[in-house]
Amino acid sequence: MKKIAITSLLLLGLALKVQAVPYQVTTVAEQLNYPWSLAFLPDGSMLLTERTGKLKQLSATGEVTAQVAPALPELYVAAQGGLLEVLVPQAFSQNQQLLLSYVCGDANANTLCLATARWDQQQLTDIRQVFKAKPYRKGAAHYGGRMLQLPDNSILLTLGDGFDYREQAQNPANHLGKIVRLLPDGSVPADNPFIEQAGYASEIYSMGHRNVQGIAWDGTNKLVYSHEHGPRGGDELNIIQAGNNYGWPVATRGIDYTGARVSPFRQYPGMVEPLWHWSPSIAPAGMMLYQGELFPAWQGSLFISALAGKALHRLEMANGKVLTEQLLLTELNSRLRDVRSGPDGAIYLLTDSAEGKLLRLTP
Amino acid sequence: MQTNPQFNGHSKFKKLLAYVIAVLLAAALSSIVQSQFNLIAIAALVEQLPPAAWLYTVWFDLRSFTPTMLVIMAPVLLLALFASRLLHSIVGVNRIWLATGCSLAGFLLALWAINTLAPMPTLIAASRGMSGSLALALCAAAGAAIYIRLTSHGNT
Repeated sequence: MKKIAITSLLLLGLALKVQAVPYQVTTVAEQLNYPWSLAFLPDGSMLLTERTGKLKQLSATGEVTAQVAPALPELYVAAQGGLLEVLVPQAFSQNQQLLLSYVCGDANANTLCLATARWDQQQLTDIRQVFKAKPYRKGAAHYGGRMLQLPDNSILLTLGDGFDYREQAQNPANHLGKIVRLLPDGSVPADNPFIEQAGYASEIYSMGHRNVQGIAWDGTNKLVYSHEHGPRGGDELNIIQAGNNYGWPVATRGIDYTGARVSPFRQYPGMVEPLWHWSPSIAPAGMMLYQGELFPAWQGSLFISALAGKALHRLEMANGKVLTEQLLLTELNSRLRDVRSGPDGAIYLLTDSAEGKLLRLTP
Repeated sequence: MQTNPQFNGHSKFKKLLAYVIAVLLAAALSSIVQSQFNLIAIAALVEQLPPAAWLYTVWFDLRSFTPTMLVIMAPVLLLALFASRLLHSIVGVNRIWLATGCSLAGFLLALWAINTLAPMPTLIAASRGMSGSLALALCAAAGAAIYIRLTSHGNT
């Protein structure tokens, strides 16, 4: 009885601790058509992609100040495909160059592409396709598409397994189910883990992924976090290290949507186990590590936006380990596509719908 | 001509029971078949897949995947058996061939419809290739053959 009472008090204390940070949600912009990613420009304005093919610039207060439909080579919009992420690289102030990930091809042969373009005077010019994931696949699912610029300026680009091609995530000769590392011009860094290794695509940074849609850099601990969609169960949070194999589809905690087992193995020698996992699935679709000033208690936490879970998951981290998990924004009952930390310290979110919203969380 | 209501009721119950048995067996068989396709794919990626893990996966799928197949098999077999009965009265071909043929074609049609309507490219992983789709369709055909066998009176 005493043990139960102590446990209850501890749980209450923990609950009070995680409930302690008040926040308010403000709608910054509405009528966004399947917004997919958000990035901040040095002047404080925002760039926002709509999966259906538009790139919008918004002022800090949410007014749309520019809107373009980029002429991306071979852009293919269908199901999960379309214009995905916009990344503002560190050198943007010098060269106004953006990176855009998008799906290219057609219904029978498509893949994820990466383009560079100049954002100058609210126009997108000098668009160049610099990377095309190989091989082409059929169907419009599991593209990945998130990007992270590392301190050495190289770009990690997340990819998916194409759904019907899950075994290819273990094939080192192609890009299906991989995270690739590129330089901003699309070339391959000389220190990639499998560079000039026979049978390996030189762009590969890590392999064995299903559909990676969140990636974040922890500068304090020098870690790269990523999360990926599992099938039915088995969504994963991983620490990404060069050359590692993260197991899909051999090692997984998920099963197929039909109830069939994907693999007999939850773990397998030589394949990295997740740092954290979600079963049932939450469908994690975006991630950031919060370092802002507005929520001091949340500094160092990972924030993960969930589609099926319809919540913002806060993972309290310490030295690369998850301490607690807290669910926020469940009251919105909205699919959350992306989460970002703004230059003002606020947390920005995109809801996933044909009438999506840009939301801001402040204390 | 007078009919015996008791005999008719008995016959209907026997057909219903035969249909339920046919659907259950076809669904279970297709579950076992799809497990083999998935396991062969995984076995190609690992050094060793122990027999116990193989068997456990088949057992897991029998419990977890069979309900999905029941949902597909039940209407496919029902429609295929009706169609084969109709065709039998028109063309007079042996009903077991008509029933198995209609079930096979009906299952492939159902797979196509499911994959067209479902958000993912292919719902059942084993049906990603033609060999897997045909193997599953043969399970539907086997279900139809079981039904005809169970309801036959020596003259099909």
